[in-house]
Amino acid sequence: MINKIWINYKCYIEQEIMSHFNSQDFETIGAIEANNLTKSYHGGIRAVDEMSFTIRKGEIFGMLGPNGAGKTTVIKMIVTLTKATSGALQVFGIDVTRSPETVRGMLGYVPQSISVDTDLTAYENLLIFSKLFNVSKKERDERITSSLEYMGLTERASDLVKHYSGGMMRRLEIAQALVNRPRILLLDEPSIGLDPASKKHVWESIKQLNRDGTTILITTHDMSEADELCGRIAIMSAGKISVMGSPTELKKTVGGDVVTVNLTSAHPIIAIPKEIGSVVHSSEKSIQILAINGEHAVPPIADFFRSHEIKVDSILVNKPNLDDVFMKYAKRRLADEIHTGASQERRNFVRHAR
Amino acid sequence: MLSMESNITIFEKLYALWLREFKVFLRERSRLVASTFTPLLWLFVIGIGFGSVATLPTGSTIGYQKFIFPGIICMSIIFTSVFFGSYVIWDRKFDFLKSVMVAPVGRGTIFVGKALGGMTSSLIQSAILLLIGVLIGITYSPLGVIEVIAIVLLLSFTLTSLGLAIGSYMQSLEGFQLIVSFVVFPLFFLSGALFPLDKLPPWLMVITSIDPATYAVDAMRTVVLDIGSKPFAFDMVIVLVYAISLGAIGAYSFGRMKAV
Repeated sequence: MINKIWINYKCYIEQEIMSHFNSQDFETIGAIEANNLTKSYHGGIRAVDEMSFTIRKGEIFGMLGPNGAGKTTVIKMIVTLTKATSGALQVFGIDVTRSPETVRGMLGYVPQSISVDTDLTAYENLLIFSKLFNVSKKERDERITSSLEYMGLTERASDLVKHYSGGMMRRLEIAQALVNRPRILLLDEPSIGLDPASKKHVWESIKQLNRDGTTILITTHDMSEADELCGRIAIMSAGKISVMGSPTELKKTVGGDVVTVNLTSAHPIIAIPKEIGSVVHSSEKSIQILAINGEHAVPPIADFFRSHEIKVDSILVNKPNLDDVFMKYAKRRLADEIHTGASQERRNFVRHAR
Repeated sequence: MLSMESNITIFEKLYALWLREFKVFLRERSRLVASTFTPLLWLFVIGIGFGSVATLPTGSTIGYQKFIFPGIICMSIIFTSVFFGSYVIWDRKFDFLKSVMVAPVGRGTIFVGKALGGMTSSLIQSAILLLIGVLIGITYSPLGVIEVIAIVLLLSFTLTSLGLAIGSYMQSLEGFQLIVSFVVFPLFFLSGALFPLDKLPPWLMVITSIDPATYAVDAMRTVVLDIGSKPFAFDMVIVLVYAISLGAIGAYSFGRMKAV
């Protein structure tokens, strides 16, 4: 039933937007297009530095990078909370600086810290925001109910939000953004401070929304989150995009998988045939081989050792992760730069402060 | 897009913003209890304590406790209203304000919605104090009640605007409290809430005449005790001028406020 409501609304929105363009334009138009986007602050610090990217209609696009890479600033420019110093930014072909109200009408935004009032119930939060978002009296109840149902919060709708878990609060924040029936949903660090189970639940909601047609932009410094959710990723460092592509593409650029062969006893010096892979590291009882495809390299490697009568204890295949990608392009480890503590503490502090 | 279709007025948005403040106020009982307690302390401890030694130069039969009653109501408004500005800092500490700012709502509307919330808090607290006034022998006429409500709303709008304007520039609650204590105590002490102003030395008279609360206290005294020194209408016009000016400053401050 929810899906049906959603699809009906999507069709409606589609028509609304189509009326601004001819159909050919609409197919090719990006959901968000940035050209040489720059934001500099007093003292000449460039939080965002000549950034250009296109977010396609219907995808989940992730901006991955450490704190201070400029991810939040990009989001703030899109949702019109701050103005770009130079460059162009368009949402469905509409200029953000020229028509901020129109742009805001198409967006749903879930900021990093808590954006619901914890002294209100979920229903009250959504009621207030539906009024602020110009939802007509006729539609209001249906939209609130469907948003809550969509996020799995119907049963707790009349509880005070301060009694919610972190994950429920996050889902309520997404529900709040959904009251506006956004074309694009922007999520700033959606799973920050959540336990693994809540994180999964939030991810599922995000994926479902995307399957139902919402374009999604997330920022994250969590590599597993980017890997799990995003169709395409922009790796950001110091206000610039270092590299952009699908997680699989990006990981391929690292050059292959590392296959580690552990031996039961020390081995004599042996030469591995080139077609299997190249040895990157070897010690007395272990050899590391770089192969284009790790899984496919396992059988020939096993055969090779058997034919040389060397006993193998175990074979491990390590796929490159996004941290390796980050390492390759930003020349440093993402994991070294992350201070999740700060943001997480802030969210926890805010949650329990009032 | 969708927004163009529905015919929702700005009043609906103001109502939504006010509703949030009101609900939060109702749920924070401790806030209501704490803010009612201090005025009672003044009324019953200072009122009776000083009442035993102070004789009012007016020579009227009204005792000191009754004399300060209108002033104590204004005190409660001063403190509640100016400190209400801290809630805008809270909204920024959370990202609640960001979400509101991304909705199609003007900054002026956000400001007025917030101010309405502050006015409601003051009104409820004043109502409690007015009822307690009956215990010390204060009587009200129906017109008097309407006039008192008008004074409460006007003074609380003026001072909530001041508090919100200060809050919109501040990053931390600690900073806000520090600045605001420099504002609320002079507003209170110079308003004539605790003593008559007509026997003061000229330099002090000049300072008291700048304080908007002075006129509210005087108007309140006229209505409740019939011993005001200036005509009711005169006092109200002055407070109105302050309300408009500080309201404009508040709206302007919200306009240039950053979401952090």
